[in-house]
Amino acid sequence: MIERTPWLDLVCHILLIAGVVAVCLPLYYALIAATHTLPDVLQVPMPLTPGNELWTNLKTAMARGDLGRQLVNSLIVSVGVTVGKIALSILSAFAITYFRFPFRMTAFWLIFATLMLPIEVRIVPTYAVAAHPLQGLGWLLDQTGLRGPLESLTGWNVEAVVKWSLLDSYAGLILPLMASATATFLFRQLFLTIPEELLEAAKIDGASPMRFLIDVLWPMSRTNVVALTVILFVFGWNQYLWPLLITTEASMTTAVIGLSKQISAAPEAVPKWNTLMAGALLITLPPVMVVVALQRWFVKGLVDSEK
Amino acid sequence: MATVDIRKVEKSYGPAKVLHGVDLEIRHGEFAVILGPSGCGKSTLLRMIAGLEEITGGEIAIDGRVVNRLEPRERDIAMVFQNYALYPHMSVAENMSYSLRIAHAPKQTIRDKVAGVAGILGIGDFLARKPTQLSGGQRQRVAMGRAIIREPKVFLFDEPLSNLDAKLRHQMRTELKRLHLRLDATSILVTHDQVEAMSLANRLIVMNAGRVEQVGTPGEVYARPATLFVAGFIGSLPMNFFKGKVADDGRSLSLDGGAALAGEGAQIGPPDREVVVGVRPDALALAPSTAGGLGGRVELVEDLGSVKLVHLDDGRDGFVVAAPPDTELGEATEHGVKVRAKDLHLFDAASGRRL
Repeated sequence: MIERTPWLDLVCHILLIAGVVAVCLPLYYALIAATHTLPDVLQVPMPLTPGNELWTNLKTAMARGDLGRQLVNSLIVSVGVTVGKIALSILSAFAITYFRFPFRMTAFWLIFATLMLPIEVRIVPTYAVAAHPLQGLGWLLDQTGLRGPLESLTGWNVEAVVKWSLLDSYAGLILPLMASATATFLFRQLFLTIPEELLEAAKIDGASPMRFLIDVLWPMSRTNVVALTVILFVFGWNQYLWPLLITTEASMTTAVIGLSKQISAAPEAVPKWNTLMAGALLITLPPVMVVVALQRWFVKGLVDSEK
Repeated sequence: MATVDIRKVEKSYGPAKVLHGVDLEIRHGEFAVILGPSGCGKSTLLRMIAGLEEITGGEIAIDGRVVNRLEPRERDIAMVFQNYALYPHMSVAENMSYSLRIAHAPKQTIRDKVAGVAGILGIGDFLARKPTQLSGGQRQRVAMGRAIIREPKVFLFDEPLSNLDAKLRHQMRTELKRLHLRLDATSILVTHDQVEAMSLANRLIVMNAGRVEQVGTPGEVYARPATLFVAGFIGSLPMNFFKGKVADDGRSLSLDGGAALAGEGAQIGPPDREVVVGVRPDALALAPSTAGGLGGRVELVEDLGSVKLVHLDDGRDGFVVAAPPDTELGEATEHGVKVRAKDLHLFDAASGRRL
């Protein structure tokens, strides 16, 4: 279709360019700020051309506040969240789509309802659970009067078990973020588009349900998995509120938290914007790398789409 | 030696009953074709044999073993689906060998079998291709290869040719028949296409509305349809039906509308009975119009090349005569028809059963 709408084109382009500027200008500022010394950055107006302090600033950023350790923490959490979310959601979507069990649709709608409940909404109860996941068990043992007999019979220290906590642990950082209604929903919709004959052919070929999932559904979901990996990795990497709440030890801090703590570390002092921006660049790098690396597969998956 | 015994099999979806007690015995080496209009329950029956649908009532036994409670993989059957159901992400070789790989067959065995089956079906050149890179006929062959490679006791085909174009369908039909003879297996095929059914079957099972109407060789079913439904369904030219009554002596018929058919001296039916008379268009011959005989005015003529279909208006539902191609007919002229008594199919007007 060929249309000639010069005015509409002009307006559209102005809007688009404005959008690009709005997104890119802060990034450009961060990049510029990371290349200057602190006094230069604090000038008014701030210089708009790159300086030559980038390397120094990057080194300072790495050295200050244990950024290396924090990047590793962030990486563990993001990978854990991504892998966990995909594994959990593909399994629950598989169960909901292919098995007939009581309250199947109830389960689906419960999952669907949590789409509207991000972690920020349930953060207080989630914290309570993460702090003492087995407290309920202790209460139950107390109520039923089984604690004494159990301790004397097995020699277990029930108190220690009940006091077990997920605070300041990778499990605590990852597990509460793992359930994903969005991913479950996406996989369910994908599975619904896969013709039922494939399932029947696999049944006749002698495939068990898990074989069908691994041999047929998983390869057919690759494109979705890649797209989800990109989204979920960035989601996990950018987590702020939950890691802030659940970690107190410096060794468990994630990179995003670490950076924000540096800003507010000394309220009376001027934040060292040049090294902070250099740190921000370093922290932005892994998600960018994931996007760039998977982009190719993402497009490839779309191109030789096998449906 | 594999037989399939179906005893009083019923199927309901909730309150809706789709199979009303089907009894069938399929012998070893038979090519049984289940023919019926859509919605008659034929696919459901096949899927119950395969184990893809639960059996509401009755019993299915494969090779003497009741399989009601067995998983599809335990039944020693293979199935070819209408839309082929090939795994889109696997190559042709992987598609065919999937069942063997699940069963952990040795790699060498798998390679040999794939090569062997690919040779039989002539798909050896495509083994590395994906299903999307194949034509309809090639996909069909791969789907058949996937079934053959397992060497099952029974092959089940669910409308396997209906996604192919007419020419390819004809070719695959003959190939299917040849394959069946070569493999010496028991095959059950479901179709709504009567030409396909007649050409493939050595036993034809005609179903309607969840019941078996007739079982027999294609020739038998064509020559002596057991019910009005079968009579109307079988035959590439639909049969003509006339309502009428057998005379008191049982030797002649009077049709509604006044025409009479004589039995040429022989008994043609039980005396004094309301009947439906069926006559195939090719059993009728045009003749000069006679008073009191069957006939009508030419309404339209379809020239099919090998035959001319003459639609005659007899003042009631009308009927069709298959006339030789060199017949010349004036427009709207009156014609009578001749029919031999042995070409009349008489059915009870009330029950629709053959008399």
